[in-house]
Amino acid sequence: MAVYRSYKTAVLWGVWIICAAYIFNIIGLYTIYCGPKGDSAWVNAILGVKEAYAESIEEPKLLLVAGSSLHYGLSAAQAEETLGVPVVNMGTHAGLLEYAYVRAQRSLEPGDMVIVAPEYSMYGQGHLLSAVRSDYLVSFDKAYLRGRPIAEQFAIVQGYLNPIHRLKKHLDYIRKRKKNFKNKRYFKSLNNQGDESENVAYTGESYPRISFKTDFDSFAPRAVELAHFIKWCQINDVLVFMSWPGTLEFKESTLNAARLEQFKDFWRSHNVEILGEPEDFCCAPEFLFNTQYHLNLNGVAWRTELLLELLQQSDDYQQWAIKRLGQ
Amino acid sequence: MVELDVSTSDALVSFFNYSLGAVLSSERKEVRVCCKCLLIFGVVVNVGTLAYFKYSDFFIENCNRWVGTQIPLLEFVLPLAISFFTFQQIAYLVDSYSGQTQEYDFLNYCLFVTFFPQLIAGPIVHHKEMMEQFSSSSAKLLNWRNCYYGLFILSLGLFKKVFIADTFAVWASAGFSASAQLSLVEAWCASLSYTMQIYFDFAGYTDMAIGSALFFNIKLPRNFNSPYKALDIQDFWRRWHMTLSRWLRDYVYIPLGGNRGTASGVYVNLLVTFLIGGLWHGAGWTFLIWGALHGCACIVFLFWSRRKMQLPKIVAWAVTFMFVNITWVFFRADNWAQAMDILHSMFALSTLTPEILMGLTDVPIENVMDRGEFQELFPWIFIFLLVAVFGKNSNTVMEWRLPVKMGVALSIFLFLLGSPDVSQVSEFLYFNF
Repeated sequence: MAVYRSYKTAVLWGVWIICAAYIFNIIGLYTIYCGPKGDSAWVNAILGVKEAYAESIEEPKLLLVAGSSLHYGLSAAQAEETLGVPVVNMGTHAGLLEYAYVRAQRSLEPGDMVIVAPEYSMYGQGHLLSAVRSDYLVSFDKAYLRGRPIAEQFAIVQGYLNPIHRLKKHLDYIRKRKKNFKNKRYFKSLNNQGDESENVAYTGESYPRISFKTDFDSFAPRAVELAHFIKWCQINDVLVFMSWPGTLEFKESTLNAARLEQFKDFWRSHNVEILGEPEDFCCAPEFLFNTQYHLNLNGVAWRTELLLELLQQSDDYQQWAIKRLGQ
Repeated sequence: MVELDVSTSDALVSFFNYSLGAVLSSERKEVRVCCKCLLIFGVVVNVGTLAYFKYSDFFIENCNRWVGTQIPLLEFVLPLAISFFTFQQIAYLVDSYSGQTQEYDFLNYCLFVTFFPQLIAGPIVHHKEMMEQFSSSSAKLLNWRNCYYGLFILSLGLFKKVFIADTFAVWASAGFSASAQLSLVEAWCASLSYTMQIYFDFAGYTDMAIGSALFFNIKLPRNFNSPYKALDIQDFWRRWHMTLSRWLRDYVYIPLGGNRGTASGVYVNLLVTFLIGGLWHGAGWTFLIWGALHGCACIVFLFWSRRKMQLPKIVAWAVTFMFVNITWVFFRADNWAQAMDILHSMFALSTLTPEILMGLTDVPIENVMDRGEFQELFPWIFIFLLVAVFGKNSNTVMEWRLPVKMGVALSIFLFLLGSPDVSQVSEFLYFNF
């Protein structure tokens, strides 16, 4: 009987300890744990530089917002020089989805201007979950994570359930943090404005071209969040423009034309001026760096010049510039 | 035409088998007369359902290729565990026909077919070995001893699957996806990684099935008995997926004639049995080739052993292990070309120059697997191969003299180490079959 009781005690202790480890892990995820993978640690490091520059600007400024197609695809420094206004390249990672707009909001002030040029995946039908977004929120922005709908929080946290794995990652992070930042590993080629300047070469590799297989759903979560951002900007006196990512020519698909037209309708329906046509921003393979969205320095110069030319022709921009000078 | 969804068709097949089993086991003379016809009908319906869902696209694809037809593929979503429960229900029909089944409550029958720990990837159980346990009054009581061992075995299985098999899976996938460019070393790394992956994956699943069934006081039959300890191919099949081997022996090999008859007849029976075994694993030529290779190996072994020839133990083990390792390449490869690429690289001995053999130059490595240093992988393959060959078998876990407190501490550690992050979906390999 005593032996039998010892089995009962052992099993109950075992189950309790396992449950306690999971509860401790979940509490840790919402409070102290950091353990970012390469991508989100990199995003955090470059966002720090970009936001620091944005914060240091006291006059009305221009923010460029999107994923890595912007980080590796436009030159804020060149724009600043041409336009004579402070410009910040807020491009980081397309996987941040709506969180890229949330971070832009934190740097925007009334009277500012923003150009949004999302990658086509940022319009996607899917939910608001991606590995890099989840990793970033768990590691660096727990306050935002706690404010998200419960179902979304659950979906994010369930990817980080292994207590030992998570504790190990956190300890690794603490051990490596100082070293990484000391070496400036994540942003060694970043300029003040947040542009990446190391994407010099054309690698000669071929990258997949983009095509569309479904219709655009303007009620899908990603589109809804984008609409919220536009509305927030309009309410807060931030002038919004839209532009297109630089990439290769589209892969042939019967749905391409309709889908691009749906994108344009979406922006028009929110009273946002569109700078150029998607095809204007399609480039030769020689302008690419290391993905179909990342441009090398020649590509960056070409795309920046094209965008600025389109922007300077806009009446809204001219009025904004005059108003800014008046201030 | 009414389209049936997968779960409805599963339920209908279960009800069909249950009803037919009840009729087949009837002792009334007038019913017994046509029992054999009914049994054949039942087997045909079960095999037909399996063929319809699992093999129709394979058949159409080959028709289109060889005959030149252009029939569109049906692209069915394969019902979960169809291969397992079809075999289980065929066994039930045959057992009913031969009077080996006794209880015919429909709910219990459904439990027998869908008992969750073993539904998806085995063991393939017999009606008679489960029904007695289901109806036993002790099955309905909480047994802390069984819970303790259940937790221990479940944790052990989880650790084997998530910690070991999934780690090797990364290497195996990287290697097989870059099959055309592998160097000799990388090809061996890829094949040995898969050999380790499938071992720990299936051992892990089996442990988890046995462990979770123990929580309900159900003892599932052994399904895995350290197969890499095998000294010959027959021994391997007595240790690997033991309940499938048992099923194939009882319901295919023996009905075909088994060991009776002429030597050539026995060889044909063996080959047919292994071809069916290969095809059962998947609708593809690579599975058929894998089955055929194992069938041929068994024939060679039979021929060899009938002449009382014997190899030294270490040589016998090495030959068996290398054969199993090489045949897993066909099992894992997506197609014939990929398998041949890997095998070609594994045996590209011309790349081993005298300088390399004398240790003057490093073995060329293409680095196409892009998974870091190979020096890191070899020790792990070696360590886990030692575990597989010399380690204690989890079937004997109840005999381990482990203090209870230490056992539970070990269970907690293995469980937490093996517990997956839920977003990392990693299927058991045998789920696909």
